Amino acid sequence: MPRPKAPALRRSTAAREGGSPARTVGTTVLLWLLAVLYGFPVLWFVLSSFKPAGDLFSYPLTLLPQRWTFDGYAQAWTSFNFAGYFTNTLIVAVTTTVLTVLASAMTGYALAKYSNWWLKAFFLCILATTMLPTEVILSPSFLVIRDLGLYNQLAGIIVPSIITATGCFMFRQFFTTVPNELLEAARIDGSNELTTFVRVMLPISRPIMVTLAIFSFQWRWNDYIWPLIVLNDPSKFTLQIGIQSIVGAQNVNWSVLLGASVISIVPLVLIYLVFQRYVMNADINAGLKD
Amino acid sequence: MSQNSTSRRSVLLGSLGALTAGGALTACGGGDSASGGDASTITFWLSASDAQAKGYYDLADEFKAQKGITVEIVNVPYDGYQTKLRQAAQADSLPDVASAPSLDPIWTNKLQDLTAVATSSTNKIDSKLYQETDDGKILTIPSDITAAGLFINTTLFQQAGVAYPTEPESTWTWDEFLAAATQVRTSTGAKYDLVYDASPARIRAFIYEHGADGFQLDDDGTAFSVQAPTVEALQKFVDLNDDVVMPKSVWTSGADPNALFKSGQVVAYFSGVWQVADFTESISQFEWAAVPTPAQPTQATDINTGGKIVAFDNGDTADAAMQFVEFLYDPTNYAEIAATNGWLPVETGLDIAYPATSQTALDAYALYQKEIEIADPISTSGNENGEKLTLMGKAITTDPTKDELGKAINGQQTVQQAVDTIVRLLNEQIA
Repeated sequence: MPRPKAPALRRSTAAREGGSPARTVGTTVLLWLLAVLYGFPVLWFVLSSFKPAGDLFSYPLTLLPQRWTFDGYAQAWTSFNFAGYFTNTLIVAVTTTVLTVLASAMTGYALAKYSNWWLKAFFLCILATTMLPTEVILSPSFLVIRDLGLYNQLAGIIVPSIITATGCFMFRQFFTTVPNELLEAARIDGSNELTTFVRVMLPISRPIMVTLAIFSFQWRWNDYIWPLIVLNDPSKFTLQIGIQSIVGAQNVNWSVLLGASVISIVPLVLIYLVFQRYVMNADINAGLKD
Repeated sequence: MSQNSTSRRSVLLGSLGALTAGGALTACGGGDSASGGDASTITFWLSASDAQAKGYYDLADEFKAQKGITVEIVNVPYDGYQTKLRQAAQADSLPDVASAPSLDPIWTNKLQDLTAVATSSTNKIDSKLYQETDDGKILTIPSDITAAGLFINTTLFQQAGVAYPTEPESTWTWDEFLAAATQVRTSTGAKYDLVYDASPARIRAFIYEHGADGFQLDDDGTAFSVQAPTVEALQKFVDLNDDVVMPKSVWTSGADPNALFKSGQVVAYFSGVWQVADFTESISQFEWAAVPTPAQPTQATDINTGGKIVAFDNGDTADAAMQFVEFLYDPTNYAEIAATNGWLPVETGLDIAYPATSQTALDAYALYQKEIEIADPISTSGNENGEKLTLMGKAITTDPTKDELGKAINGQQTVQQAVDTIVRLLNEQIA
């Protein structure tokens, strides 16, 4: 999509007005400092995963491994059914994310663009669910899942996670900012409600879709307690359960844990790298003359 | 608004589409259901590191070969295992056999009676390690014993030219040990004399070794009480946390004593037998050894149990589950699994050939076995108190010892206050 001119102009004027070189340098330095501050532990973590177990805690601490080894990775990948866990997690995360985005977009659209007293009440109810943490509704949800026959099924961790209040809320807030004129224009052109939604509304909500998709993927990727309870069969385990089983009751096999953890964050980093430009470029006025 | 009237149907259609997608997914998630009703396969849940689960996998292969029953082993992460068992009990999908962290009143009524295995004269299981319920059943037998103990950095000891005992009979007192450790620290430039696991079980060993009784449960299991010698021992322990002998950070802010010891900057580490396997694998910068626990004057440690083996009564598979437990505790099989998993045995008179690659590790196992044999009977009392409570359907869900002693070490309260609070909080939980 071509970038609209107006924002670009605004940005450059802003830079010219407030941008004495000293201030720019100051801001940049500050941001770099922050980046280093946040990045350093991650760097340490990644580099540590290449250290042999005997060097992890040796004194004095070194940032770089004295001897590079991939033992932790090799052991993590071979001693567990890592590939299987990885696939399961991927299936769960991708399916849930697609369904979550779809359901949230529809719900959000309905809540923003249709007005009805019971829709408002319904919206309040949806919001209210955010007040209940997962742990509180663990037992009742478990009973529902069991009675639906979803116990020990990947579907048992996908289905309960599809509807999220956060997602519905994000879309509702977005669609309320979309002018009704756009909707009316589509209607005048003879588009029916579903077409309007799919061909007009969904495309302009792309930044929200991508943001929610990243969040949802991350949530499902990192889910622990629910999959642990629902899944029984080791061949259906997700990655987080696999990783957690490295942490023993009394000991932690750090080198394997580090290797496994680094592998497990790779997909999240990839997803972010691929989709970040959509989030960064979030320009909700795209397609509208304002 | 006018859109109310317009084509609600298309919206409905859309949502129906989404629903169908969800439904289809549920369907494809289906397929093989959990085992049950088929006595040729039983499930066994446990929670152990890969190294400590290996013996079970070998045992399952052997069981399959001899009895023709497949054992499906599920290694569940420790964090959340208890919750998972509870939920499984609700879903009626409990495993057939399990090595559980503790008994849970929610599912104890579904357990089989293990009396025959526990009291069998061929198995020779130490009778101190299991307890009967009121109606005379034995619901669980521990898989192994754990004991607290002392490790030292022998490289530092050698550098400093300081001697240390190697046999329990010639052990040192706490004062002798601390004097030796201080000498080593000062002459080698190490940072601390000792790090000590922040755990209620490990502190029990310190109390017993100082001739005190610790926090003991009364006979009818209704109240904990404590005597003056325990307070004195704890006062000594708190005083040792002075950032010279011991770092305060371990008990007050959760520093990892295992990592501190592995840094090579700490002369000694009080922990337990489970560290042996880990140290063998992950200490390469210096030499280490397990040494006798100090006795001042009591020769004691804290003897605890590993996993609690239970067999569930799941109908068709109940018999096979029982067979597997019998198979596990058969002395020949048990000696093998104990060797592979690095267990201290619950059965007496076994000759276990630990396959550890290092002599240090073999010496450590031998030392722990000797120590357990001569340990004062009080060493098992912590575990017994816990079992007694479990059988009464009670449990200490949060042991306040660590937090309260941490506050005393931090100077926020006196040791006497800490002890009083610990007793009060323990008693509130079992009231």
